[in-house]
Amino acid sequence: MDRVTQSCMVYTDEAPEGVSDAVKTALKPFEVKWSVHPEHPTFGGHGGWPGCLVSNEDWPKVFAALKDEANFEYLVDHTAVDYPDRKPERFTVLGLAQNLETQERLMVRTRVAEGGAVPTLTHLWMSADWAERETFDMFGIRFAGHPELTRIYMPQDFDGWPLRRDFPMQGHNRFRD
Amino acid sequence: MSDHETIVAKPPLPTGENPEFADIRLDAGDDPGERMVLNMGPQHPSTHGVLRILLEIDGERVVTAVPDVGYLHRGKEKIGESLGYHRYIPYTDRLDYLAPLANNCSATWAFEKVCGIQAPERAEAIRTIGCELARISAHLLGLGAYAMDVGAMTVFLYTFSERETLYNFFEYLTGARFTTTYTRIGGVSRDAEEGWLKDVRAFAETLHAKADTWENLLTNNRIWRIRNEGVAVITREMALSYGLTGPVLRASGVPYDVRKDRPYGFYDRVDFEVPVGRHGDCYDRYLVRMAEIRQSARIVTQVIDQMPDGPILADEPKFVLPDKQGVMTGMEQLIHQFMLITGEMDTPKGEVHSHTELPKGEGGYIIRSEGGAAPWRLKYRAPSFVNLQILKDIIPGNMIADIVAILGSIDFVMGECDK
Repeated sequence: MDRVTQSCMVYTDEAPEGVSDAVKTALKPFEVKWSVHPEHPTFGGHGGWPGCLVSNEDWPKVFAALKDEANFEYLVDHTAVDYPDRKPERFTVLGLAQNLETQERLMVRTRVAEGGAVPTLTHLWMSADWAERETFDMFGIRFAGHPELTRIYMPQDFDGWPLRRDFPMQGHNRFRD
Repeated sequence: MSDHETIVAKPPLPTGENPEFADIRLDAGDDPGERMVLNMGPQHPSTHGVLRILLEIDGERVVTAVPDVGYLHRGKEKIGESLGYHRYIPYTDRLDYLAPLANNCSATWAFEKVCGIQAPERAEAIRTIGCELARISAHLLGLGAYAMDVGAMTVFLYTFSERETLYNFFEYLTGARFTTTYTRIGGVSRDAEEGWLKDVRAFAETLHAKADTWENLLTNNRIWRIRNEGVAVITREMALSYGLTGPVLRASGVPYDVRKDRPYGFYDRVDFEVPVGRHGDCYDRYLVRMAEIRQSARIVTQVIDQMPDGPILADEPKFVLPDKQGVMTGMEQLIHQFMLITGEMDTPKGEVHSHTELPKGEGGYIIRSEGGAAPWRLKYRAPSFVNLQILKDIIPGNMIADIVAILGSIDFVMGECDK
């Protein structure tokens, strides 16, 4: 595959269609960039949920505001995307939150450099515990304030971060013949 | 409460409450006694695979429980990012290996969103039938294993004879009993024949009477109720905070079902109810699963009655594999298939979120596409993984023997949990 140095996501200041007023009000105090998918034909239909990009410091505050003010009581999913050649921040951390009554969902993203840390969400949702451990285990992204940030799938003494794009599919040299 | 909810009411005990059973749970009192650490699993028969739970026990009572997962981790997401969309579908069979058809469909729906195409109506209808048969099959195994772990061997024999029928249906439809690999991007691999549809419809209609038989064995069984009622109560707040989905969430009183709330496939054209529980204990989780089996049978009957005619593969040659018969006989089609499989496919760039209602809960994909035939990032939300996290909260305070009931009521699959 060609080298991808930049994420395909494009960010603007204007909220896309489908973002409710409650969410816009809740996110007003924060500096939020809204994402658009210029190439994706199904976005806005059934393809994906609206998304936004926030700073590392705002990451837990945005989720707290969503939870308290917009009634997003449910953290659906949590993961990261790796762009090894993107400078300076190589990783994007994603969190998908949901309002159970209106079924509205919002994908919140933040960017972090290798060796950097993102504030934890464990004080908001218990489900963030294992979710952040999984992201840490697979990408080596640290979550500041997490009570027990250890590997969850891989052995504790495993060397390397399996889901980074530069981790070889065949595994380590030392496990080969 | 909206109109599609039904409350699963607990039937009264047939002979009235016996006060002798009220105090059957022993109480250790204030004396902490000596504590020891017990390792349950990863090869314990009631852990349904390779779950390990570290228990700190005080006599028979559990003080702390630490679930440990990862013994079956195969790196499915990494495999998906390496192989590409078409070649990933067989790997989804091995996620929740008790409902491979539902996993195939879930992956294909996500990949179709990436490609920006839509499968034909008939394919969507067959997929919906497949998803619901898989749900019945998964719930039957969950119920049989659950009952057997708690001590009711007979239920297991009943449910497994029904699963045999279901596996025969799967074999006839897909060519495989277990690892089905049935769906394709843009449709399904084989058409469902009229006779098959007739047989499945007959099966779905008799399922209600059979469900009565299984419920007769358990619902008012005194031992079953003592072992399950009031055990491991999950409140609504706990369930939401832990991100639970599926029957485990609905047993806690939250009527959240992706099939109802954000319909996909054929679900917007069928009438079904979302059973919810009231107490959130093991017994409610059992009742919700039993009610879901009946609803699934209803859905199957309705879809077969509305079965549309037409093609089973979308006419989108940029993304959809050619018809298998053509590949075997024509050079053009063979080249076409070869190109798509080996990576001559250019998907649009963007991010896709696709979540469906799997038997264990809400499962699905977050896919970041940077073009090409493989996803840049493929994230699978495994409902079993999310649901298992609550064990550390609900096991402490219970007896060791209750753990098998709790594990059975959560109904997880480690193949899916460990990805």
